[in-house]
Amino acid sequence: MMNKDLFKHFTILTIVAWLTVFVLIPNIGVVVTSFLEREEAHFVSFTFTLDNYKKLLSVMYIKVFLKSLAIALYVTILCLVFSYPFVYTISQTIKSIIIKDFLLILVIIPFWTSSLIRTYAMMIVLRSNGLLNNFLMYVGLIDEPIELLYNWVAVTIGLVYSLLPFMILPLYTAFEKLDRNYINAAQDLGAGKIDTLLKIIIPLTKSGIAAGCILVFLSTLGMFFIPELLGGSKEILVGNLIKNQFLIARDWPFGTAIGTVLTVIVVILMVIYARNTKNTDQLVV
Amino acid sequence: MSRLIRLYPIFIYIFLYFPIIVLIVYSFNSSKYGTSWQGLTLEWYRKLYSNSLLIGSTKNSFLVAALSASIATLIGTISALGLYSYRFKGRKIFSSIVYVLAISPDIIMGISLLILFNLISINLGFYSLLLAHITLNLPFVIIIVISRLKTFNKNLINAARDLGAGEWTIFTRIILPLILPSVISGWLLAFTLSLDDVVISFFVTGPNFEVLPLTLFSMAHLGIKSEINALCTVIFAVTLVLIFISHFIFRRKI
Amino acid sequence: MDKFNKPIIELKNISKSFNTEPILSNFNFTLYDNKFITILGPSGSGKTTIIKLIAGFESLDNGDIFLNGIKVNDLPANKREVNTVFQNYSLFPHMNVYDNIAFGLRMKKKSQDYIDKAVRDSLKMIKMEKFADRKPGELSGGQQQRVAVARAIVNKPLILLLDEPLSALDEKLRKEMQVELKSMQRDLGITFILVTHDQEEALSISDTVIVLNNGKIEQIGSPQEIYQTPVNSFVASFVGELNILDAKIEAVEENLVSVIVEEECKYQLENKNNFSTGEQIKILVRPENLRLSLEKDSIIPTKLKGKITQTKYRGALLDYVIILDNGKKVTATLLQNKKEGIYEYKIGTEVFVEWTIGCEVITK
Repeated sequence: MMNKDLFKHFTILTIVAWLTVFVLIPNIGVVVTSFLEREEAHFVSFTFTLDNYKKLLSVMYIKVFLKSLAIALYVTILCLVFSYPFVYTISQTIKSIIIKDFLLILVIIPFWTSSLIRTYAMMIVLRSNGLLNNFLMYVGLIDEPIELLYNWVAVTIGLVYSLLPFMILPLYTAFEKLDRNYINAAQDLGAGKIDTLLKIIIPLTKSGIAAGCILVFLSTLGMFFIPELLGGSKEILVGNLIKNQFLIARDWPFGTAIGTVLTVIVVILMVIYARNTKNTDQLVV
Repeated sequence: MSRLIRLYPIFIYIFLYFPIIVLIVYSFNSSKYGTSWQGLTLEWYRKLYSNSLLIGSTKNSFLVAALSASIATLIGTISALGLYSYRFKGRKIFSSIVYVLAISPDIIMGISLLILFNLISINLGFYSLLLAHITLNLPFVIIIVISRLKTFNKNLINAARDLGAGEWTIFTRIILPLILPSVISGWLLAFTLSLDDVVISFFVTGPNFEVLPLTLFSMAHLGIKSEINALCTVIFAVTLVLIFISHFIFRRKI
Repeated sequence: MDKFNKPIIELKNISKSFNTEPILSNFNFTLYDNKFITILGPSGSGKTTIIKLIAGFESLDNGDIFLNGIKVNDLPANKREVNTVFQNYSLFPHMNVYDNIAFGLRMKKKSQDYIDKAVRDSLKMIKMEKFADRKPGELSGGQQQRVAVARAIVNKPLILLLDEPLSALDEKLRKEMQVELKSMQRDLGITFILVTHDQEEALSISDTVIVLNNGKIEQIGSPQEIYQTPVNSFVASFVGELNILDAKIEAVEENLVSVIVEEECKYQLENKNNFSTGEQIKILVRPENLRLSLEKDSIIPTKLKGKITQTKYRGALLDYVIILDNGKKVTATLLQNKKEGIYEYKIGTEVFVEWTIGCEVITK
């Protein structure tokens, strides 16, 4: 029989130790490295410099950041616009729990399926001798295959395709938590479907909207393989930039500088999110 | 008008499933580049089976996934208990870190661990990947278990204490059996995350240890090939099995 | 019943089932008055279903609903001139008290001036003028309840439906709110239909009580009628405490019957129900109509004999549980007699039980 205190210390120590070694120290390392100089043999030399950040201030790199944020924003908005009516319809119109459950599983399946596989599947549909082009030509809308792949449209479609379940699931949770009686009360007081939606349902599902948005937005910022597969070498986003620094250019300090800026952006967004959510436990679904 | 709205979800489902179904169908297509239907075949699956690189990658991925999921579940469950039950200095900070990790872009974790491994001179390969995936999985397991603990009736523990049980007994006889479904859900999610991970694997694995997502990624770079279709279909099937287990046997929402 | 006015509500041959389980079948009800009506019944009796059907939250399987003479079967809830006070109040958590109350008026697109005056007036009526900016989460249960009523009433509906609105409040608050609701109804002149399973509540505030059981109306009447002249044993036992005595009809003479009660004593009672000789009947008597005495002699020649087995102190009243000689258990409720100390009759005492003739109800 274990001592109560021993057990307590053991459990606390476990998490503190692991997080310190594998999260805190590495991230500090990232920040530190961003102030160092590059070196051939060991990747970094311990000389302090602000050059990496100065490099970032150039128009080219700022453009990349802005583009990444913009695409993240588009993707988030698109996911929200497509998902909200979807969840609304399923949650409000379908009464049978069995059917609802089944429909939910149909969303969970793509959620669990590797993003890589789903992106590759999207490639098949979008490529020049692929299905979409063949269909459009068959229907007569176009004469030649359009270059659907390898541009920012494809990247956006691919990101929305991958991340749609990430928006649907938090929304679904929020909708299920919504007390049916609020809607009854609104109708009792004379509200039609639209008023009920705008004045009652949307405000009361705000937590789900926020959770979904932040999940999608942050995920977009980091997934470099989707822009790479669907955008070719033309679409460089923050994630690709970082990857290239580490893999191709072997400029670790610069890579970590970009990484640090990205981390700062992420932290700022999370603080904004946390401030607007009463309970931090609702950060994740 | 409301009739039309009811049809809307169908379009979303078509959008979600169409590419995958195309992928699966094409994996059985005799045409090598999947341009037009040329008859049913299992040739690509046979080729997969004899591709030693792929088999090796697959074995590696499953090994890392199983190990990292198991270790992460172990550490995560214990950590969840600690974070939930006890008040200690820094509790809020570490709780927040866990949540932040769960939704942060993987790429930050990727480069930070790369720096770490370089610092402590660990060669990139099996061990670095294992440690990285455990770190990847940990927050998710913790969150799932803590969610379950929150719905836990504290009076059960008080009743046990009242009857003379010690901490370990309470943990093994009362808490663990009741949170077991969540723990297993956590394991399954961790396994899937590890199996599917591209970003972190990219940074922390070495040339001597190939993993499936990276192999797939480099193949996909070169364009569409029917072998890849077959491989993807197999992985998709594995995912389906995992979901089936997770949902039906434990009736838990993920 | 005024045949020249349209009924306020008319439910005709209503049927409603949930998951193949019928809650109401061929249910009929007509209401002309605008008074305080209570639907009283146990859980599952269908009382909440009736309210939901009137409000429009559930649709009928069969039958028709008329409000003020107009058929409203297919009229959606938001178009009916009916407002509801929900069991858990369902105040919109993201709006303050003012906006909650103003909601219905805003939906009707009333002018800002009208809305402001109406909301302020109703805040005054519920004595919560200072709470206009508070959110529901910052209010107590009683305060939320008052806001819920105000939110409904401010729209001047034809009918106000209240779905067990007081069940979440503590005893004292409940009694206060009952009085407030009653005076509100009188002042506003709107028909109130309250649903409850609490018979005391029903009796104390209603003008009319509808006793419901398994989707069927057992009795409609004033509280006195329901309590003193229940039509069957369900109504009698649901609304208040009851003693059930077995008796056999010995003889019938004009409008009187001679009965043997509990095989022991003989009584002559009014023959209200046209029973015939030899029938086995039940005599229902309320505890407060029983009288106890220590001597055999009294106004009435024969009494039932028994022993006191339990006593219960209820402040102004005393309950006595008596086991009669033949094993039957009866309860008597007496006013506290200060002269004799707390308990006039102690446990174990042999007593004689009789009741005031005329206060009984006879059923099969």
